[in-house]
Formats: sequence, C-alpha cells, structure tokens
Amino acid sequence: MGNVKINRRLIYVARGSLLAAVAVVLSILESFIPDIPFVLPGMKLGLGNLAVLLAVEICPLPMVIYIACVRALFSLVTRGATAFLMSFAGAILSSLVMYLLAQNKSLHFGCLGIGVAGAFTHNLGQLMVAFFVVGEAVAGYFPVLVLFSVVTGAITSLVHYFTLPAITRISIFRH
Amino acid sequence: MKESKKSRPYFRVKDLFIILIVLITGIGGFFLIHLQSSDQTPKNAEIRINNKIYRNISLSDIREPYEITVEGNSKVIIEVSSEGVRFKHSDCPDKLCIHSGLIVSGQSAACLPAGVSVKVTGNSENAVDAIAR
Repeated sequence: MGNVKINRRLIYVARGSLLAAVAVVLSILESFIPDIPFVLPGMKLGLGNLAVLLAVEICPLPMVIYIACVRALFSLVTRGATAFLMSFAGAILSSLVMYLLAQNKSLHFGCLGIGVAGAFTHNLGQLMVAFFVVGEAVAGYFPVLVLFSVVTGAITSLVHYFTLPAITRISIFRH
Repeated sequence: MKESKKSRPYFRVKDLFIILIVLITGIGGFFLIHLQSSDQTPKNAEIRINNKIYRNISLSDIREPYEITVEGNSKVIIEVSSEGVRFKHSDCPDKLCIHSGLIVSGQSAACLPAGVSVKVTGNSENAVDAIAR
C-alpha cells in the first residue's frame, strides 16, 4: 500500500512538471503569433492557460501552484521584473479560481465556464499589479481586456475540451 | 477507467453565470471609465514613472505640440499638444502604448515595459482643486 502512495505522488510530480513545460512551450509558441489586426497588441490568446486548464483536472493543488510559479519565472527570465510580478499574480489567481471551479467533482461547470473564468482572473491579476506598479492609468485597459477574455477563454477551453480525452489516454495522465 | 464517461462537457448552464459576471464587469468598467470622458477640453496631463508622478503638464497653454523624452525602465517619447497626449515612440517590443493613439480628456494610457503612464484630465474634474486654489 505504501508503495502505491509513493507512486501516486511521483505521478503527480511528473504530471505537474510535464504540464509546466507544456505551459512554457505554449507561451513561446504564442509569442510567434503575429498580432491580430483590429485587436490591440498585447492581448494574448493565453495559450499558457491551456496547460493549467488540463492541470486542474488531473493534478492536486500544489502542482497547479507549481505550474503557475514556473510560468512566472519564465517571464522573469524573458521579460523582466514587471512582467514577472504581473505574470505571477495573474497565474496564481487564475490557477486558484480554475482549481476551485474544476475540483468540484460533481462537474457543475463546463470547460467554457472554467476557461472564461481563468482568462478573466488572469487578466485581472495582471492588471491589479500593473495598477500599483505602473499607475492608475492602466485602468483604461480593463474593459477591453475583460471583454476580450470571454473570447480567449472560449477558444482555449475549446482546445481543452478536445485535448483532455486524448491526454488522459497517455498512461501517466490516466486517473 | 471510468474517466471517459464522466469527462467534463464543454458547456453547462452554470457557465452562463460566469460569462454573465465577466460581461457585466467589463461593460460596467467601460461605462465607469467613459462616463468621465466627455467633450471637455483636455487641461492637464500627468505623467508617471513606476507610479511616481514625474511631470504635470498644463495642456491649455500649449501653442505648438512638442515632444518630451521620458526615461522609464526604457525610453519613451511622448508628444504633448493642446488636443491631448500621444505616445510617439517606445523602445518596448509590443508598442501597445502607441496604438492607444491620442489620449484626450478623461482617458489614460500606459507603457507597461517602460513603467510610464499618462493620464489626461479635463475641466470639471479639477473643480475641487480649483476651489482650493
């Protein structure tokens, strides 16, 4: 029995690490996407959230937080301290919210709701940090970012909906 | 295992609540911010670096538009005129601030990588200050 428990924890660590790597790779890929016309640059699809969407389904909370930390550290290395603080706040806040919504085993919420909530809280966390670090002027971006998060949340959750069954076919991602 | 049977559906009725909350926050925020910006003439521009006030410029006295260079975390060039303020150049990669265009009364814009933000206020908003003066 003891053996089984250790294996379980190892599996969670492996899952979390893999998904953290997925999150980082997705953010790199995202930076290659040219800015969509008619949309302000800086508005991101939030592909990194996709990895978290998968993580909240199959990982315990510590591993979800771990993924958020890896994402934030990655933006510290590539984009500097302000980006780190913003990314950290956004990632932690959105991870917690998505975890709470997804861990309800009765499946109250669909992929769409969790994805939109995640995108929204990610933007919210980032803007809150920007508000204090850069100045209150950033509040002007709030409405656009919030409305945009419904679109990005819908897109990422659609991908989530189609990839989760495929991913749980891989042995370490099976419950 | 039984995983495939109880996999999450794409849409649940309760998702509507989440989307509704997000939409209401966004639209509410939109009205809150744009209620302030009426067709007043821009009067004052406040430039901040990392949330510390760097310069306060009175726009109504400006005859000819001019540029000022702000050294935040990176270099930003801001054009000031009697109509408002615009980000003219920034060393940052995303150029979000430049796409904000002309910032008029009641509006604001920021360059996050540089830590530089600009807020333009109009006539009536400084009514209290005017009385205090």
